[in-house]
Amino acid sequence: MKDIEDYITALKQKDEVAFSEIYYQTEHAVFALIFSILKDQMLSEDVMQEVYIKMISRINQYQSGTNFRNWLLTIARNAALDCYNQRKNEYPLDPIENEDLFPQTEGGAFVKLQTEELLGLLDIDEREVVILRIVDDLKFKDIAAIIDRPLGTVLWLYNKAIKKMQKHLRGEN
Amino acid sequence: MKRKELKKMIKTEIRSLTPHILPKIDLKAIPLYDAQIDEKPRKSPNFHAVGRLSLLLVVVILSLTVYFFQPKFVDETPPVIDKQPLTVKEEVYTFSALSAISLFNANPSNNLLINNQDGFLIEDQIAVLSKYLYLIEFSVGDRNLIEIKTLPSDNPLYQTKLVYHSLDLLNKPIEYVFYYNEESENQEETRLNGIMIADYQEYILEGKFEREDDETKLKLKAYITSGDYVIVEEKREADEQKFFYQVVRNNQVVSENKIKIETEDGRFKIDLTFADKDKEIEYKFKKQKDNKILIEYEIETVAGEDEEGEIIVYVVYDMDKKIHQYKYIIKVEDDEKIIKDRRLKSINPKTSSTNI
Repeated sequence: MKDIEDYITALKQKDEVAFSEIYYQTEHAVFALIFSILKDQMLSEDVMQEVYIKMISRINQYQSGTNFRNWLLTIARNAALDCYNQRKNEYPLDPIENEDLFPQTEGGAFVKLQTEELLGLLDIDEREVVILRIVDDLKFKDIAAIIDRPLGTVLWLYNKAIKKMQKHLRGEN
Repeated sequence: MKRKELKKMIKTEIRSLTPHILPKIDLKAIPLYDAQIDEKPRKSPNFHAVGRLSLLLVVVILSLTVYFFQPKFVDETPPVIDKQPLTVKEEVYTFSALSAISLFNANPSNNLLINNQDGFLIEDQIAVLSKYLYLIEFSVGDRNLIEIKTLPSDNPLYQTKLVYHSLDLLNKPIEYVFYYNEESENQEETRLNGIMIADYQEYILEGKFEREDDETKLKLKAYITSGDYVIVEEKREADEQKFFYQVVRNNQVVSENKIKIETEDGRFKIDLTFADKDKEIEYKFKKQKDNKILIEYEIETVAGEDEEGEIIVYVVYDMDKKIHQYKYIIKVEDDEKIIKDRRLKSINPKTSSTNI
């Protein structure tokens, strides 16, 4: 099994298989991070596409042996924040108006609504940390590097967010 | 819902939303740039300034209440000079000093079970937990047996002497002595300096007590040498009391702790959060019948490991070693393990170096 660094080397030669491997290893984290900021499925999809294009075009700047995942997620986060800043002047993103956030699928509608509701309790900082930690199993120190916050703050935000959601589920809100 | 179940649910559902955009990307058409483009993390928009301020305040402002120190003081012991009920201030002083020195001594390097590869994560914390338990015993002990007395100072350097008496879980007496001077700058603010003698060790204490209307606030620093110290701040809210601690070694903050005390159905409930550079642990202490303490815990490490479980703690006496020990029964899911750790000695006034 090849290492991700091998795929990156191959990607610099525009190897389609290498790109597919990188994509499948990172797609959930990239999307989840963007989605945690934008809270809009369609918009997140557009930004996700933009992120992979940006990653490919800048692949020669990636320093081999450093943390590729963190580098890619930093690109994703910056792109999402850019998009957010552009859009916030146009109209506010209202989760209630964005019914396509969690499209209903067979048998999963209730859980999706619950997840949406839970993430809606969190502020953007908490959402980012929770999503990166839960969806991609990132280490806290990597999350701290990606969102440029002290490790203690990341731990604090994460635990605060989890407790907030647990409390909500217990019906204490 | 358990933490694990919650995480699993979110992970599954968010992953199911991920769109498949791979076919939309035409790799061959994308130009590759050589120029360095600096991709640094950006600050997220400031959505919740108030929330952040609150977070900051929690860290910066210290708080403590005293309602769990609402003992019916036992006045049976003869040498009580000041028979007036003790004020909240004295109680706050005493507990803050006690907890500060307890944490001062909670050195993680004392862990008995370092590099425990196969066991529970919490096992590495048992030695530190024993230190906390010694403190927690005060608050879950029999409230009617707690006694704080003001006595004439027998130390010429200090005006006031407070003696704290209680019983531990085995009904053995515990005693601490606190000498201090107060200097009031105005009605709202009092500075204090003093010493506390506990477990044969003398700690220097410096602090400031503030009172405004019904609220009180105390900041206290306990140390032996200047580079190693514990700062405790306390605050009382409507129905709960919070303590915030910062443990400093060689002038570096090595850990931060928060203790929240509240009553639930007439019983005390104590939450302790511990965080250092490697991990964050949350303990929930509840006193059970038969002199045992139930602790629910959640631990999460920087390395990405997490664990949640239950600990039942008993105090047992080892006939061979002739020492009291904490007996920990750790339960994680269906697995169980028993660990014992030495319990701190109670101070014996007759053998202590104090001038009691």
